[in-house]
Amino acid sequence: MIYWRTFSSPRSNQNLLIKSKVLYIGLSNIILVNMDKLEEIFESENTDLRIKTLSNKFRRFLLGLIYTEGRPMYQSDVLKHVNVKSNLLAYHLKLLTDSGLLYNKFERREGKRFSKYSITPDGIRALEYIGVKSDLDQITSIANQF
Amino acid sequence: MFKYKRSKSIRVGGMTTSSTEFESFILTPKELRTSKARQVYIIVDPEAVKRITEYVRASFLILGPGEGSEGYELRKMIKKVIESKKQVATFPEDVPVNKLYEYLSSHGIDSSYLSRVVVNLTTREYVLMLGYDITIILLMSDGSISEYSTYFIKRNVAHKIWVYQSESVSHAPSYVNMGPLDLFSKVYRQVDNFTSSQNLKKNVRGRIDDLLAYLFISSV
Repeated sequence: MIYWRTFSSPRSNQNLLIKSKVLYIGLSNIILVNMDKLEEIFESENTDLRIKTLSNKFRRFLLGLIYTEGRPMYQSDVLKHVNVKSNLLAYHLKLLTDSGLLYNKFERREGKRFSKYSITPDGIRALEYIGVKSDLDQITSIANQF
Repeated sequence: MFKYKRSKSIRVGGMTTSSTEFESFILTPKELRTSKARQVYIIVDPEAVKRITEYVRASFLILGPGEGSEGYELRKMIKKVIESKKQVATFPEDVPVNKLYEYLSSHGIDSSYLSRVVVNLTTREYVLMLGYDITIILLMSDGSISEYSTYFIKRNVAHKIWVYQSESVSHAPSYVNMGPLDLFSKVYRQVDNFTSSQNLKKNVRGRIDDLLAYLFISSV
């Protein structure tokens, strides 16, 4: 799959290609992005980690799901929506947290420690960057009507 | 020389496994439990619509010009588009008159409402429309298909009709245009015009994708 995003109107394709960086992630995913603009969007030092995080469809799905929920979610809340192994889910949530797209707040209940995940402003910006935020907003607004 | 680098083992959630295994995980529709998860899945990954065809079933009845007529090839094209999405598409003339019940049952279509043998053509098509999820009507001439007006006023089937009308005949002052089709488009808004076969194909494909996505989201 090839993602091609133009952030500004470049004078020529060649100009854009010089400014771009090609990242090979896995065997099937090739991401071509304008690094200058991306760093501007994320305003962060861990841009590479964020690109890695967003390159995975499941992580994009998790980010979208937590965003549409509109409130912090426990890992068990996420598992109500999707039937995957908990350690796999924990791995992906950890990557999202490490890259600063999710915020993990620890809570203590009955002597056990639980993680409560909520989306950060950078996470919302990332959803805007991958072009899904407006569609996800529609789900949230429909859900709020009921 | 190329050296194989082993992936790092990591410990998450109380179990140790390799990060490669986690990274290669692909989320499939069968793992989604709620309609919200299904909605997010389709939004975040637009190509998912291609994958959900295996998880939803919809049946389409295609009415329009018969064999030898101008638009027959377009009807066949619509059938091909639907079948490429692994859904059921039928021409009413292909359904055997005396074996309606057996035919519908073998195609996984609800035929429990059939109580007697139907021989009249209009009634037979109406009965078929009751069983199928969607009826596609292809209008290629300005007045010859006025018999379809019967279905436009039947409430239990009208909401399931999609009309595709050729642009060349859409402004003709015919009975269909000025009467039933005008009424139908105002009430149900399910009338589309097409200029070429490619245009028709694109319209049908887009609409079927939308329907399949809707069925996928709602069938939890």
